[in-house]
Amino acid sequence: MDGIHDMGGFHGFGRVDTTNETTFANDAQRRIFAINMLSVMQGVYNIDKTRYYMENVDPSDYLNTPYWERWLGMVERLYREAGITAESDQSEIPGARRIPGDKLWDGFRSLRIPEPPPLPAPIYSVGESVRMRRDSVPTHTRLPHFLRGRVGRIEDYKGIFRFADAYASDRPENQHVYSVRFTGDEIWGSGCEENTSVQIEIYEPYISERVAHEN
Amino acid sequence: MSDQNHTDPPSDFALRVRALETLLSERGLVDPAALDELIDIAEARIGPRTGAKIVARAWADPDYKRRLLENAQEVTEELVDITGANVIVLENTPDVHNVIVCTLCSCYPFRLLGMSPGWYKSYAYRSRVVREPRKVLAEFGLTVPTSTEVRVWDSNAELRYLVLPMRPEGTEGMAETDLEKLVTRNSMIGTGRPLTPGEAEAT
Repeated sequence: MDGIHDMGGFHGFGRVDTTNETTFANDAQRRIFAINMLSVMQGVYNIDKTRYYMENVDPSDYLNTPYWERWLGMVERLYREAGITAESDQSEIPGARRIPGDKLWDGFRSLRIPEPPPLPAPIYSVGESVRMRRDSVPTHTRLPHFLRGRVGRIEDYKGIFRFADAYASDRPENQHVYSVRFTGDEIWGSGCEENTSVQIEIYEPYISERVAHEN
Repeated sequence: MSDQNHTDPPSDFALRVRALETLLSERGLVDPAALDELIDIAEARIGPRTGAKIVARAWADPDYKRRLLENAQEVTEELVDITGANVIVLENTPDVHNVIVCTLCSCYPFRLLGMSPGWYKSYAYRSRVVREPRKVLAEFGLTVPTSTEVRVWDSNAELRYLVLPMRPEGTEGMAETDLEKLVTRNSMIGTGRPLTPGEAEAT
């Protein structure tokens, strides 16, 4: 979706406050971090859905709400939609399991990403130049707006991963992922800084076409 | 963002968090001890010293470095008690300086670096570092010569990146445990350099 969260390249945010080291300013921030993380680990909802819900808000609210408070709003909505409210007496969430405190660290420290099921062979190869699709989607996507329609070079093939766009809507789907590099000039034009680039993971459906090599 | 002061009544935010936690624990959906455990993990068990160990080993052991660059997920565990799930290590060289960001949200290699600092999640960093990375790095006090490409990695999908900074000069023959002390968190994000032995001694 074309949301305010997709802010790569925006002007006007000013200098980076490089001294801001704060992770948590108070206990409520610690608790909402933990509630969300545990909910994802327990399978209440998936991480792509959390991102979709976080960005799917009024743009002015997004900008004016402190970081952890945005998390709180997202978690409240996700549980409400799962039927867990003060008014209901529901206490079951299909597919979710409860992780007791004494089992948590072992699961956390040894996390491995499971091998995904195979797909047909990837369409593109390392070394090819490819153009990103131009159309935007109204739902969650991980293609930042500043790369739409841009041409990059496939530097690496990373394997098969959960497709975030689909999982955000509870649709299990996997896709090939490439690592694609775009020059600063290609993205930002003549105003770009010298000798800079952006490299990013590109799910195969983000690519619209192969582009002939210029050299 | 206003910090909570102990003399203030609980904020609306704090009351909402408490109400949510009460609801979820009363319904049996979360174990409050699991929340305590996650907070302890975030604040005490993960952190940049994990990443520093990996960097120091890579500086000291060329074979480890080669395997780390090929498959970080497999080899991080040889050294630390946490898996580097889906982590890719990016090697800085005289030709390329790597820096990481998440423009769309706040993805960060927190298993190896701990929780991200406030500035990493700021709108200024997220919006600007892809467009004017040299200016942003300069705000961190880091100047990268224009002969070196600044490559910005936008962590948009499932992979997380850890920058392997260049080994500082004058560290030949240093023990791995001393090398570790030179590795700063920002040098593993790409917004800083490791300390020199002299700087480390002064801190």
